Amino acid sequence: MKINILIAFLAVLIFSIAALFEVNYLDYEMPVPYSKFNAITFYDFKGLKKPAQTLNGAKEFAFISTSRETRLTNDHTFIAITYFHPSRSYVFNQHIRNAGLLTHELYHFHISEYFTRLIRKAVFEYQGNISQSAIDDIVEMYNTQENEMQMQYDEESYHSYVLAEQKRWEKLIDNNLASLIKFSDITTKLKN
Amino acid sequence: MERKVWILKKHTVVIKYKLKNMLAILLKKEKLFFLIAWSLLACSILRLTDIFILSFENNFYYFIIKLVIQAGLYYGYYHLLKRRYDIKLNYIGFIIENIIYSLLILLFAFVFYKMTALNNGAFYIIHFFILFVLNLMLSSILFLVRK
Repeated sequence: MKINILIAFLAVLIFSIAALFEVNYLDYEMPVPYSKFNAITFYDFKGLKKPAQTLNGAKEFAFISTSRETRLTNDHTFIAITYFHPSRSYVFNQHIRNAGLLTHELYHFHISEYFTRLIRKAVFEYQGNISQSAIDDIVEMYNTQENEMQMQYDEESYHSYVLAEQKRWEKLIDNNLASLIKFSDITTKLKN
Repeated sequence: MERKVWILKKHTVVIKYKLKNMLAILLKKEKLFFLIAWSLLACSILRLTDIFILSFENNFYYFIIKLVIQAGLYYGYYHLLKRRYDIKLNYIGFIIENIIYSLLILLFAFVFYKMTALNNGAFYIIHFFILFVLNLMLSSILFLVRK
């Protein structure tokens, strides 16, 4: 029995190390909602990169981690919030003053918010009583679309290195967000 | 014809007997805990490996490395079982244990994913299925060529 406990303890220890690269729990900071995106700096990027992770061979890079929380409340209200995760986001040097790189990363956050607004819109325009499973389907559909757009953004702007493309994307995302300004509030009152 | 049927019946009885005997061994409480603990260890090592071989964009190397680790650890388990519990698995037992081992790894990996990933993450079950099949093949080869 002793050996089993020892093996299990060793496994938990290894899992803890593996988890550290998913979320830096040693320097944890709570997720930041989209409403506070203006306050985000590279000092908030507290995550760790995986040891062998590079950006096409380059070690000087950053990545941002975002997510979305959606829930249906009892009083016919739908809540959707986009979050930035400091302890899952990484920058090679927190002291770097590279506004371009930070802007690029923040536009990933804006893309996430754009899709959150699309979800709010889809839920608002839903005909009939909406169930949790219908919401899950909508969220999943937009998650897939978001992943595609995030990848396309990185590919075309080459992670902010192609300035003209970066600017084009910024304009596009700003326009998309502005077109859905009506759905910028985290709460959506349902029709039915 | 009658003789063929008799031989077939005899083989079926032998297999059933072997399976019954093997199941009695496999379901020993302490040995089961050992398998669970070993699978947990294997899963954690595979997770850690994921972190270190992430840069290999070639899927082929990714699977080969993970396969060697998974099958190698299972083979190690087989030998530890022999040394620690004096249990010598036959081929049927070896395969049954390997299937349980792979399923436990899948279960632990899923729990780890649920605990650490965000709700927009993805769990690639197909990776486990590919590894499961390849692991069975490689482990069988190791079993058959063992000394």
